[in-house]
Order: sequence, then structure tokens, then C-alpha cells
Amino acid sequence: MISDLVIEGFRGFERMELHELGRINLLVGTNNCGKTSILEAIRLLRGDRDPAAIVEILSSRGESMEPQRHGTSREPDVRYLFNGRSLELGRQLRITEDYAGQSRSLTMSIAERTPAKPEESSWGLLCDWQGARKTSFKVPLSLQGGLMPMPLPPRPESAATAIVVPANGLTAASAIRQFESLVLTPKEGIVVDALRIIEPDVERLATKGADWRLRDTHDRGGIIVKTSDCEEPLPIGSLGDGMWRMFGLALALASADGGVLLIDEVDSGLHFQVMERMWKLINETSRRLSVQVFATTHSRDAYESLAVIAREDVSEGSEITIQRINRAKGKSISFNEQEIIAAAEHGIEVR
Amino acid sequence: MTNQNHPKKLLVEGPDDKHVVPPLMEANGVAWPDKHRPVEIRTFDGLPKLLKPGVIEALLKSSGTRIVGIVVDADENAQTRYQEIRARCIGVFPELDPILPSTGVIKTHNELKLGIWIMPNNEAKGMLETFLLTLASSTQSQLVRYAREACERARSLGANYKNVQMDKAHIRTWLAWQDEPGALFGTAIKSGSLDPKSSEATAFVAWFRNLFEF
Repeated sequence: MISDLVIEGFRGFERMELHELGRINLLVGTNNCGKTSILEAIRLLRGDRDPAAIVEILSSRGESMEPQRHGTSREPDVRYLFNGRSLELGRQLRITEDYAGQSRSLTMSIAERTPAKPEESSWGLLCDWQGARKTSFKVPLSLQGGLMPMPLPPRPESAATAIVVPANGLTAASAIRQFESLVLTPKEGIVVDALRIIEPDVERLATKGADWRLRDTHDRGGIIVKTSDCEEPLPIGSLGDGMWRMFGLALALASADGGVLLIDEVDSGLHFQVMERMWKLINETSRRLSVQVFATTHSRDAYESLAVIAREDVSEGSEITIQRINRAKGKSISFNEQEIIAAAEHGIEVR
Repeated sequence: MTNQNHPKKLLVEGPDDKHVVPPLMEANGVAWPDKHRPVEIRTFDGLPKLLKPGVIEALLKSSGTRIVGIVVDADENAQTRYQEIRARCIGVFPELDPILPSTGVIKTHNELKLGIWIMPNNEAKGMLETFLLTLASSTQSQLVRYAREACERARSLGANYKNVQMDKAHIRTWLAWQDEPGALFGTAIKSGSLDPKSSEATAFVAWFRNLFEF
């Protein structure tokens, strides 16, 4: 489990330290305080076998440029990774974690590179992971400072990367793909067990008739559910409020097995009444699978409902924390379980 | 719930404390308008709720908070009570005074300010009522003494208030003899029966003004 995290020179942070992290960490703070950037930092640090993460992170924020050569894909604009958004030789960012007494770090810097093609500049983005597992590679930068397409190593089966649940949730295609990769494995049972925390009548799930037209939309076609109280299977969407979001969370938890799960805007799409059950699902499943969870929220309901779970949870140790992020302070303000419970009980503002 | 993000908060044990502070401060030159309270006073329905691990810590860490004052009764021992409060604050204020000084505690750390006052006067045993009795004695010492005697005599006649509640019985007995018998503490301060300028009141007011910057 990551116990401490230090972020330097990344995005809006000159320096940000997070300490006393637990199994579930809810990041709070004003808009633009950098909560999502912290999730990205963890993802990059855990991304030594997932170099596509760099591309996805920049693309999802629209931080890319028209390619130099017409017809090729957009170039992620690397300067947005660096605090100050400028590129020069030697510019560097570093992300460090302490994990079970061991330190691991990622340093990304602009370094010299001999261009191999005319579109390449003489700079490259050096990505250097240090720790128990060392990896290093240099990605060519184009003449306009964009990340050039790099041949990506295939993502290994057991890649200990961080799993991400984005704010707007899974697409149907992604959910179906993930579920199909788990089906008939022990993890399928874990996903069903997780859903039963919310909806005890769930018996089985299956994919059926996934329509290609739904591929990249957020429609919920293609997953059906058999519940004990209904003869015919139902589309998962019919099970009501937030079930799709819960399903996405369950899938992500199962995929994250033993690793780290990053959930942006954990309350998104969920009514406050459902949030307690959502946290119950996350709490029990993450404990069962030894998954460390980092989630962001703006919502008071999200942390007040987390307090309910903290109160019911009788296990010891700092399992649940809230971290308030404020860029002006180089360190997060950390709330442990007792403080989270007290804050909810007395209407104390933690954000 | 009250305004959550008031930068200045005073934490007290119960409603009596809450109703004493504003008139006491107003009589000493600190305006206390209803709509723009200079300090938000939070009660906790008893000391155990305030001392519960996590409560004071969460308040000290809450967003927007700049100054926190804590006023609680010494009961049997002012130093012991102080240590209980100190234990809850030490995580956020590592350099908090190891022993409670007679002027009360005021400490700053990283732009956050903390004050602690143990009623009646950071030294004696007792409670809010003990403090208020000194304000009463300032102008009516004979009557206050007589009220005490009456309370003690009442014991032998079957009155069954507990020993630890003596000061509560005492002050309420004395209050029964004021104009507006049995008035609330706040009213008695406004009317002057409880002297807001007595030396003990002045010491508390000084601590309060210093802490909350008035």
C-alpha cells in the first residue's frame, strides 16, 4: 500500500506531499486544486508497463496538437505535464511513493536525443522509473514538442498498473470488454458479489447482443442481469439508480486486484442515498482484493456517507483517510477515521 | 447547522457557556451583532462529546478555520482537564504548553491559532458557575456568602444536590434574590448583577480578546 506520495514539478504542483495514506483515500478540495492531477501522477508512477498512460492522460484533457504530418494521429503536448508548462532541456518532474518501506520514483525529463527521422527534434522525453523494478526509455519529441508515436510494448497480463475509473464512467464497449475478460474466471464471482452488496437479488451477469452502434457511447446496452425475483433477465440499466456506475466500479475493483484503483469524481451519477452502498461496495471489495483506492470528489454527501462506512467498519488501523488538497500548502491535510466520523457528526467542513 | 466556515470558532461544553460569552464580551467593548457574529460558538452537549477522539482534531483541520478557542470546566482538577484537551490538540500543535499557565493558553502554528481556557481561572477546581460566582461577589459579596451558607444549611434539611453541583446550586440561589429572580446568566451580566468588569472577568476577557484579535 502506498503510505506516502511526493509530487514535484508535475502540472500545477511545485511540490505536493501526501502522508498517512490508507486503503481508501478520498481527495477533496476546491475546483482546480489538483485532485485529478494527483490521480494522474499515481497512474504515471505505476505506469512503467503502461506507457500508453502518458498519451491517454494528455489526450483526455485535450492537451494535444495537430500532427506535423497530415494524416497521422494528434501529438500529445508534453509541456502540459510540467509545472509552468514550458519545455527546455533539463526540465524535470518527479513522482515518488513509499510503499511497504520501499521507495519507488518516476522522473520525466526533457533530454537530448539523436533524431532518427526528419520529423523528430533533438529532444526526447526521458521516462525513468527507479525502485525495485527499473525501467527507462526515451520517447522522441517532434519539432513542435509533441510526443511522437512510440511502439508500445504489449500490456502484459499481470501488469501491476493502476486501474482508472474516469469521471464520466465507462463506455458500454469498455465495460463489455472488461467483463468478457473476467467471465468464467474467479473474478467474475467477485464482480457479482460486489453487485450483491447493492442488490442482493443479483444471481448472474452476461453480455448479450452488444450492438456495434453503442461502442463508444455511454448507453448501457449489452449487459444483462438475472435476479432471483425475476424470471426473465433484465438489461442492467433497468435495475435502477446508479447500477451501471456500480457495475463499472465492481469491474474496476476486480481488475485492480492487489494494486491501485483511481476513481475520478466518485459520486458522479449517483444520488446521495445510493452513496453509502457505493462505499460499502468499494470498502468490502477493496479489502477483499487488497486494492488501494484513491478517489476524488466535490460532494459533501460523498464524505459524509464515507463516514458512515468508517463508523461501521471495526477493523483497526488507518484504513480510510480524507486528504484535503491545497496547492498553496505543499502538503495535504489528512483526516483519519475518527476525524472523518467527527466531521460528519458535527457538520465540520473538510473540503 | 450554523455557518460552517466562520474562521473564528469557540468550542464550549454546553448552552450556559454559549449564553455567557456574548454579553460578557459586549459589556467589555466587543460588539456582538446577531447577523455578523465575531466568533461562532459551538456547543457539544457535554464534555465527553467534545473530548471524543477526532472531534477537536477535525475542527482544527476544518477548512476556513483560522482561530479556535476551547473553554471547558476544570471540575476536579484544572491541570488534568488541560492535559485531556492538550492530548487532542498536540497532533496539530506540537509545541503546546506542557503545563497550563494561569493566563490560559494561546498558541500559533502554521497560520492556525489555538486558545484554551479552563474555567474558572486555569488554576482552581470548579466550573463556569464558579467563575460567575466571582463576578457576583465583586458587588454583592455578603449576599453571595449568605447564599452559600443557605445552600449548606439546606443540605442538612434534606436538599439533595450533589457535592460537585454546589456551585450550580449556589449561584442559582443567589440569582433567585436578584431583580428578575432566577434570570438567565446572560441577563444578569447585562444588568450588572454579575459584574463584567471584575478582575476575574477581566482576565478571561483579556484572553478572549488576545486570542480572537479584538
